[in-house]
Amino acid sequence: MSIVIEFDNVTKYYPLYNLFSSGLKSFLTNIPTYLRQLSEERFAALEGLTFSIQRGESVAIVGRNGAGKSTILGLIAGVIVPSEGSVRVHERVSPLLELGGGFHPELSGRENVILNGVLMGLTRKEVRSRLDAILDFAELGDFVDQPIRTYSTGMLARLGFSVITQIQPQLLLVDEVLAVGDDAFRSKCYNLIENFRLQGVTIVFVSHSASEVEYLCDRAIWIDNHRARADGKACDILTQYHSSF
Amino acid sequence: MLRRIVEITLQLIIKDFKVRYKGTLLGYAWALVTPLLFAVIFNFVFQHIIRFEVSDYPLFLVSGLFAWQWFSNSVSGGASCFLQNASLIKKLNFQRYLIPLSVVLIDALHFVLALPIIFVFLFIWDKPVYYHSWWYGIPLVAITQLAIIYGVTLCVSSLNTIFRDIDKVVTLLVTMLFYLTPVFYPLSMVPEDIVPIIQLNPMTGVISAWHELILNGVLQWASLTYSMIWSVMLLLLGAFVYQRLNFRFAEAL
Repeated sequence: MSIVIEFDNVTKYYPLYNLFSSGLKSFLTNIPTYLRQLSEERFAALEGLTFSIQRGESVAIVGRNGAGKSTILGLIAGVIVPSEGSVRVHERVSPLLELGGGFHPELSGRENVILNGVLMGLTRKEVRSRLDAILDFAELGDFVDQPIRTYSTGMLARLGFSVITQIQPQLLLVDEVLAVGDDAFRSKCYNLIENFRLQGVTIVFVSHSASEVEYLCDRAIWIDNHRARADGKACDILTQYHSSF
Repeated sequence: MLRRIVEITLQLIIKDFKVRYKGTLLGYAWALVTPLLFAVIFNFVFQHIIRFEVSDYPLFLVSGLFAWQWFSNSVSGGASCFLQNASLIKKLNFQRYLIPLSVVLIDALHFVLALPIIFVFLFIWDKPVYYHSWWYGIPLVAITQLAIIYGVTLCVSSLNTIFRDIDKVVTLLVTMLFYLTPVFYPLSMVPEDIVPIIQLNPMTGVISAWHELILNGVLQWASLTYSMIWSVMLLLLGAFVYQRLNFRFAEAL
């Protein structure tokens, strides 16, 4: 067994951007205040988090809203970097599967699939050869050629999930995306994830559905108040987590 | 690696083309119509109201305006390119500097496609065609201009992720810079003591190079070298700003 994801004492601060994004004028007129606030007014999304995930494990991250679960996935995906500590990922990461994400609203479903595939590292030729399979999986019918701003949340989740069916990820990151699919699509996704597991794909899964976690994951990490509170077998952690409120 | 960069850039260009012209009536023709309309207006103002002593003034205008349009479109349009692609940046880890590059390359493509229009003007005015210096002059000046524009765009688009009004400041500055660039007046008309100030503008060298190259078939090595130095400095500046800020893009967007 080899380690795929390593978090070593990871802390992630977010500056409070509401102060920042109010614009240049207010920044220039309040530089001293800003500099002070920069160092003081930051929000710790994760504090001193250490864990590692082995190849082939499927791990659920559970916890209340705002506990820092999505930040963990963002760090694994490499779209954000830790403020302190280190994150090491030794595998090609799938795109972050989360609601409404990863797509350009003005493009059609088909165009978005191609764009996504290329940004993930496939060549355009490879994407084109897999396009039909991807769109078949999504079952969007004639909507594939409509701009995705017209899509429902469920349809977006379908499209997002479909893309990863064909890119053979070695590390799959799923953030709460199954919650909006209909039952038929969800069971299709469960099968897919199950298949990935059998092939030894590492999966990190954020979900608020206990049954989903229990069904899909061997291990769970409970994030409470930006720190890891418990880490262990999925069903044990879920019991602890649910008895905490 | 290079293969991946080319693939991504191409796909981003295709994407931008589609997004830009979806639901527009004239589509790509806007890129040609805008500078031509400016040429008509400037010609009217500076030939019939204020009388400039410039021979073949319409030709002079056309040979500089398309190049300026490339600069102004890329810089003011590209300033918000990271914001417009926020949904991709937040989900996928890829070379984000390719986003502004694709914006600049699209405008470069528009410029190249507009070159035949300039040649048509030369033909109508019965001007000579300077093949012997154009075949290397046009690519050299264009590449220098590309580097300048990319440096500036990379810098402003990175800053724009943190200060959202950079976007508006840039549009304003580009408009102001237009009047300080010898696009609709020749550098020779500028009083001697002001020339150094105008020369500080990175676009001055490029635009005068276009004028000389297209109208007289002369590649001004002096102003080209000067612009190349500018382009290297601006590229370094852009790379520096991008390098400092890019790890925060996903959280700032």
